Amino acid sequence: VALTAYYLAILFGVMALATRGAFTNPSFVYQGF
Amino acid sequence: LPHLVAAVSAAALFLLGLTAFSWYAERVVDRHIYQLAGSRYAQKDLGLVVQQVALRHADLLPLFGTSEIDRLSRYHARDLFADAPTGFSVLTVARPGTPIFETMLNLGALGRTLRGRKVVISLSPPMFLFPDGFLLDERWAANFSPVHTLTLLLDSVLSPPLKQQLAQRLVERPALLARNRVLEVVVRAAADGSATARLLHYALLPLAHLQRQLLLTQDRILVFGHIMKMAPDRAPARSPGARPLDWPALVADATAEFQARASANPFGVDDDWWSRLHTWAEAQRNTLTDDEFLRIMARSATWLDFEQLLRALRELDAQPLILSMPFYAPYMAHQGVSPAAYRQYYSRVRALAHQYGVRTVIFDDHESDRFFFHDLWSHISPRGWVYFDQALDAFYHDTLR
Repeated sequence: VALTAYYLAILFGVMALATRGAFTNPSFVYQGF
Repeated sequence: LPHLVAAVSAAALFLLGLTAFSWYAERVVDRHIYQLAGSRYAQKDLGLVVQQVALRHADLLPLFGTSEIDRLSRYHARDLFADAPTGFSVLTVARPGTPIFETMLNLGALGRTLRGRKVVISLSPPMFLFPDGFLLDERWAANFSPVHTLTLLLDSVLSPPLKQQLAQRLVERPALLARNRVLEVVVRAAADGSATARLLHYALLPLAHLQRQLLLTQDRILVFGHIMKMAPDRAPARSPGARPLDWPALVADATAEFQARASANPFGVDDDWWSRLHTWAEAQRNTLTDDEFLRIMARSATWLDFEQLLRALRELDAQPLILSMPFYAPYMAHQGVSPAAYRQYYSRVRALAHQYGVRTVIFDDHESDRFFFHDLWSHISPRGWVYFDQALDAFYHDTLR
């Protein structure tokens, strides 16, 4: 069980790394045209 | 052996857990879709799950645009149609500064779900007035979505030549691609088009699909978290088709409301806006000639964005409507541009759309309408919104003339 939890943690870690920054865009402060 | 068993068990549990969560999250999104559809929520624009679920509901009309659609107004379609008075509400997908090219990537990512679906895209004329794009790097950084791009490129709905052209344009923006290494390699391979690149593309497919699934799962996690934090009583009560809209009365109400806060400046735009920006606006006097205006407009890369958007919509077999604010005649005169020059924008938008069999409503009959514009940056006033709403209502009900 401990080993499975260890590998699960690795998989979640990989997922976090693979999706890092994908949806954290800076906001565009509208200055007009 | 214990490690192998543990690793396989962990992988199985991981996949099972993500699949079960994705299924459950989608059901939760579906239950809250009318509350999410018109909301100003970044993940709805940058992700896919809310849009995909919304498109399963025939009574949600997708409305894509930029800041003119994002801004708040009591007469905005998101509010006016919130309880579906004539049978539908809107799904808004709009963030400040969204480049048309990103809108096209988003539509491409929706792929087959758009087949036969009515979809409205709002254009903002100033976007066509900057040859290299106004603050384009900042606008791209704020609006680029790796999951849209990856989904579009991995999906088979758009034709390979169009996907290659889009990838070639993305390669010109390495800073965006650097946000996701798998995406970067997929885009570069798609842009190249050589036999070696195709081989690389196929070799990368499993990794690219895995990356896409992880992004889609992350999208669901973020939206699920957002829904858990949403106030439960914010969902509008829907009474589809129960309340016919009195358009002349709405125009009168919206005009009266806006007029009261737009009469202390020479242009009839929002007084607060004017008090903050009148120095800038006054400095625009006679800063352009017709020749300069036409030269700038002709060089704008946004025309290519627009044409590729139209092409994508045709390949997606969607039923699009293009809406556009007009230029504001008194402000164009203030800048020194004649109607004969700026009206070429209307002709060109109509001609391109016509070439792809797409309908347009440009509202150029309102170019001198004093209370139609919220400001001098082509944002829509409450009065303007009522006319936009009327066009959306007619389009949804197939009565657009």
